[in-house]
Amino acid sequence: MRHIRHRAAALLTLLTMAGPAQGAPATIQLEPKNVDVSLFFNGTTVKIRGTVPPGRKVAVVCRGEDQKLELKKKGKVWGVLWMNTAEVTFEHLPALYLASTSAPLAGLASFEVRRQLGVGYRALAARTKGEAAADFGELTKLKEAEGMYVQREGAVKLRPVAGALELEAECHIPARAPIGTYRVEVFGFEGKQGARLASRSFSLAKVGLARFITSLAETRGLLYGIFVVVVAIVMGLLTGLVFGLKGKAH
Amino acid sequence: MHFSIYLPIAKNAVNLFVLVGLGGLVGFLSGLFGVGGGFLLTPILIMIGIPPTVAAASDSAQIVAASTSGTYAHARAGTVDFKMGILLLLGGVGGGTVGVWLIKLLRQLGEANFLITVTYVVMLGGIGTYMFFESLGGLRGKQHAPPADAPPPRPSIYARMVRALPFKTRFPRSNVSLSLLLPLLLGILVGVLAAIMGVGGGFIMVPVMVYLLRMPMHVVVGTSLFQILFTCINVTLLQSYVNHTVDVVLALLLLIGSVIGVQVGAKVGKRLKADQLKILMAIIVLVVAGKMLLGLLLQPDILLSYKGGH
Repeated sequence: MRHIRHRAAALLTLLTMAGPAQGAPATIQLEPKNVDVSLFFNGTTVKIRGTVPPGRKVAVVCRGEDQKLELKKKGKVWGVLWMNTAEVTFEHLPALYLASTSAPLAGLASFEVRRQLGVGYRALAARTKGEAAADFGELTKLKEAEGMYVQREGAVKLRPVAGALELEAECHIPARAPIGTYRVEVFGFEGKQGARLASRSFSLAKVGLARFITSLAETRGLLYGIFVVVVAIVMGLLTGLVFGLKGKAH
Repeated sequence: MHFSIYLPIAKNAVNLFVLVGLGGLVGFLSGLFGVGGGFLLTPILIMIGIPPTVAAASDSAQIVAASTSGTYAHARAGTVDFKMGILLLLGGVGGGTVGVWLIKLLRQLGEANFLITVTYVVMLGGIGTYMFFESLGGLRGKQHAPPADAPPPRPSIYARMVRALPFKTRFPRSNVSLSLLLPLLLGILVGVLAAIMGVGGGFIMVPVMVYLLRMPMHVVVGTSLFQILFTCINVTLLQSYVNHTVDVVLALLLLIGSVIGVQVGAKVGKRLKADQLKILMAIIVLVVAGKMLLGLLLQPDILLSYKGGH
């Protein structure tokens, strides 16, 4: 499975290279290649290194799987009280969206080009349909506060090497990032044009005890619940006993 | 060097010491006042990045431990009225079921959220203010002589109603004689309110026991903890079975702190006078009511939030 995915990614890299670009082909590597979520996981930084053809401005986008997001929206009741008054549903929204660029977004290409490639918040907002579109600004505030949506202009480092540009970027994956497959894409901009130069996927998966606990909670809920209650009662009784003895000793 | 741990069900990483400390603080309040503390802990957990549903469910597991520890401490001190507790509990279970059904009905009528929130704030504010001034009077040494301007009609009507109820029995621990029906009915009332407001009910139960059942404050705390224990066992099992939202790692860290906190709280409580306990509880109730009121009046930074909280 993983082999196929890697091969597909490699193939994609080959295909996208065959665009108008000349010179050195674009390649990227991720470090680490996949992310393990153990009980010690506290978020991680995925380093992206690679080369792109010379003379480009570059955007690196790391995104999670699309998901449906249902939120409560606060509004004013009777002109004074702030309460949850409505629900907002975003149908297809990447769980994680980290965009870094080598230059200001507006300087990469026209909005139309950025929209087609999905580079920047505004491009994401343009994909949102219906009533939810009006709330996209509030959504980015919520997601930015969690570190799940980040947009950093000028955070991609480019260094000229023989006939190419060496690329260096980072994606910080917060601890709350959901389990699933993530995609890192590199876009190059030259003149008024933009194209995807390279792409690579990585997976975020629970391992060890974290994985065991989750599967137990999901497949044997009642047993899990009884276990939690018994542990809680035993802990409560034990401390009661210890403190009781201490109280007697005084 | 980081002291954080990944919570597999909450799907987020949180600092170990923050969780143990929070557990300790809430446990202390439980031991002192006989409240579960969910009203305080759940919003804080949401604030540090735990999804609302997981926060509420895992918190109930923590309360199981704290109230076991607290009930044990109070039972040793002879301040748990088991007979009263069981009657209130039976009423509470029935009331809770009615409340859950009632809330569905209210939601269908619309405006339910508004009604619930306003009732909650008004009730908390009312109970807090009443307790505050009543215990302040007690602390100032007025003893139980009612002030001249105290309205006699309401208590007397209540007292007459209470006296008219059949099945009178004696509750030796609480040193009161009441109809069996009274704690049962009040249990139902608290159960309904707790289910509608989505809280455990310790908050409403404590004033009810103090003012409507006329139980001594120290017995109130122990008996309330005894009841909360069973309510929270039920919630933990249901949440694990139906919603899979109990995070065992989160619950364990919280309860390590809370089982110790509750013992300390019970010890401190024993040294305080009933009126001192009541006024402290009144202040906490008022602070929570004030915080809720501010939340309603001030414009929030972010208008959107995740579904699943209250």
